[in-house]
Amino acid sequence: MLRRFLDRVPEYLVYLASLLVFLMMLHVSLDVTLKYLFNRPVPATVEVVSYYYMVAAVFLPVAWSEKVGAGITVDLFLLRAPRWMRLGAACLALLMTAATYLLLTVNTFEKAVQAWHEREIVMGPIMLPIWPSRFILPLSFLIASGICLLQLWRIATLPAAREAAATIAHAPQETADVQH
Amino acid sequence: MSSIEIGITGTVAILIFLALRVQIGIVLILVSFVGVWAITDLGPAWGILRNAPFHFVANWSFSAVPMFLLMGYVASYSGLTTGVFGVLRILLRRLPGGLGCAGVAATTLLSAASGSSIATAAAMARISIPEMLRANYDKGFATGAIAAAGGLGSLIPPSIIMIVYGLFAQQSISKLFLAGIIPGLLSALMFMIYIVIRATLNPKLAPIDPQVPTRAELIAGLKDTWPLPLLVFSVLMGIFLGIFTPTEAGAIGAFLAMVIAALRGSMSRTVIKDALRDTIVSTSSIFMIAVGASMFASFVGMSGLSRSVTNLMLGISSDPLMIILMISLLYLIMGMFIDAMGIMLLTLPVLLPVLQVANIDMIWFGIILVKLLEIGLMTPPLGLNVYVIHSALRGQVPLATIFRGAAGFVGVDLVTLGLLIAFPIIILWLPGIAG
Repeated sequence: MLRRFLDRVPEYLVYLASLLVFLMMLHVSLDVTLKYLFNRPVPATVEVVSYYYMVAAVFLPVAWSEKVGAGITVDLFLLRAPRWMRLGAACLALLMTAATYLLLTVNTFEKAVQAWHEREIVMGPIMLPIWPSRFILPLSFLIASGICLLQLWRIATLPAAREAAATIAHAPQETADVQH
Repeated sequence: MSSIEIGITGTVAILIFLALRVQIGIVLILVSFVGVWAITDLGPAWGILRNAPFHFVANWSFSAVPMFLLMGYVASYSGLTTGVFGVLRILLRRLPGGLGCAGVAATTLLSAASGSSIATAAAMARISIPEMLRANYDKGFATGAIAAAGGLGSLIPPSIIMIVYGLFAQQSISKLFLAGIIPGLLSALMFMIYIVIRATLNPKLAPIDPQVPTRAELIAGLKDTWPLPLLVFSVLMGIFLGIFTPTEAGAIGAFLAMVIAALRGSMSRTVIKDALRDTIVSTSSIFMIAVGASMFASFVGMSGLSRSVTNLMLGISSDPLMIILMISLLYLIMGMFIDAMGIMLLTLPVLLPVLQVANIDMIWFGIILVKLLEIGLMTPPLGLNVYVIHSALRGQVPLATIFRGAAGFVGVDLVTLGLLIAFPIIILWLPGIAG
């Protein structure tokens, strides 16, 4: 049940983030058009973009990046290392990543609850509540840590997962980590 | 342990964990957390974890990053960029190594639509290298040219690296964009001169393009390609004239790219879906590193490490030229092992104070930095552009061949870098006249 949830949900979060980035593009374009043509910008565009679209675009895909291994790593030093060392390093990396995400989950969750109680807003042309967006962080981090722990569990129980973890792809994936 | 010892231990720990393939962002976050805890107390360390990610990311200026990524991906996935190479190949046909020059020139133009070197290299590799190989170009020479030119993606505006640099170093993004134009064009010109010279000396390296084009082909090509240069030009002019903020320019650019693609009939759900997915995955991984780097900056500041590095470097020499040479050497070495964004974000917290004390122009340094990072994309063992070209060609050309082919272009780039350092006016002239 939990496993199936963790296998599927990163994909959904990516869809959601994609949709939001698309909306962000439309929102900003509309704002610029209205601003120059009719001198009527869309109120609070800057605030909505910063506090909602950006936060969603950065944090929602984190779990998916963990799942497909899109995070940026330095592969060189382990490329020719013996198998046990590569496997050990993979487990260490997963443990550290899971621990970091859990730390982040706890802290950002506390902060989100606090902001919720205070009904945190940002002052702009209109008063925009921003506390809901704070919950995006603990949610994304919790699922990402779940993905890492699931991966570790699979390494412990499935030989195929062990094999995959000990393998270092020779070249970076074409789509996943293409960026700068 | 004193604060400074904690700072050094933390930095060494980061390098060790990186070598063990832990992701850069995660390493920076975790080590900075433990480091701040060790220097002060658990309270401030919790505080950084609690506040840094949200406050760092919820920033209007950063929102230019996903918009420019989206514009570049849409332009390239919908085939807006394919025709450019075809037209340039006809125009540059008479030059020795004309196909290679067309590849470089097309990549330069594509760089103005894309903010990312690696995306640029991948897209152009698929379009231009198969044509060069069909014309019997030397494999290393053909792939090396595109590996080198791909680096222009981050030097010619828009540039993701420059946006992130501008925010960390508190410099105007539109000035950085302006400052990158001439060095970008100069780099492209140098690559083309190198290709022409090599092709003249050894015609076997880059034989004449066998395809003889007709006038009709040229006109059809121009008809197909004109929207892209126009789009790029209006987006950039919008920023430089202060009509748009970078985010607005990126959003409008992405939107117009979609409209143009739809009018050409090359827009599909897959194109939008893939472009959006690659945009958010890149955005997410860039900002997880940047969030980590912002925490690392706090840690380095608290430990006093940046102060000692400043004193150490200024102790060796307070001559700005010497400092730049030392920093260049550092980046060239790191560029062999770590990816560009990682190097920049890892080093800026430590180096920014040095640069300020030495009174180095931060716009100028930004461009030098991008140029150095770009060279790092072609140097073995970790030259990401080379890997990307290797996989874009589905392994047709061995990695070692591409690295060997790129070596000559690295040499050309070092000459260009020397020019940029010796004559700062190349970088500072445009932003200067723009005020």
